[in-house]
Amino acid sequence: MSDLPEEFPGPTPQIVVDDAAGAIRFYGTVFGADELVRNNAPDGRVMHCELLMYGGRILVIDDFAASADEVVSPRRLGGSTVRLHLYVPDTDAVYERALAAGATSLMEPCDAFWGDRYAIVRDPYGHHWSIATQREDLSVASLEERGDEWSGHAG
Amino acid sequence: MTPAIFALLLALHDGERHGYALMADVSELTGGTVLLGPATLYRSLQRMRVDGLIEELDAEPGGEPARADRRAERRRSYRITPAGRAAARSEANRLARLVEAASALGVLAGERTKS
Repeated sequence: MSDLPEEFPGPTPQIVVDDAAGAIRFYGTVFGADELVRNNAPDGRVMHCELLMYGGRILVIDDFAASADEVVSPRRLGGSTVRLHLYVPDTDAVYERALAAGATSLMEPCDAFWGDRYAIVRDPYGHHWSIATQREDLSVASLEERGDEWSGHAG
Repeated sequence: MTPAIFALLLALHDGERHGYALMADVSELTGGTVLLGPATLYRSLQRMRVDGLIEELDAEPGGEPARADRRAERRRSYRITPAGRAAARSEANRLARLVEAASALGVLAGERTKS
């Protein structure tokens, strides 16, 4: 057994938003996120909040950056540099819930060549989520073949 | 299922327990091979609650009401659910089969028969 914390395996995204309280509500409604702990700064902004969603953990915090070369919220950046990939039991249902809660559709649910049901949304706070459900359990060789076939047709 | 979660399900098998009692229970059950600090304890309990394996009971009578955040986790009591019992049984069977396979392969005796 390693000394790494058992309930925090691998990378944990620490995402910045300009309204953490609102974003936490959105992730609760849409992704069923369960809140473990929240720490507020003296001015009431959220400096730490840990959510469990679909078995993985994520930290959501308010934008405390003093300048734009720090980690800033997507709204302040005018874009995002990361997409959060989330496996869910039913992509179509989560996609519909996300849109109903104010997210923007960037890709409607489709059957992707790599065997997943797959959709992309931008949440109301500017973070991008690819939502997926595994439909087929493919070998690496099949994934490569399908990728080649897809890029051949697309090219 | 993590070793911590399996051990917690076993510790809860006979009845309700407080978070802080569970740390000692798990240490005793596992002969000290699984030691749960508070951080792993409350995150494991959260995962088990979200997965429907346990129910969280009200805080101690006369105690503070449960906070909106989960920091009072250690002071709360927990009860295993039918789904939790089924998960514990299934994990125990899975491990028993693996130990049987290990035994048949000579893995358990390996240290002694190795020459």
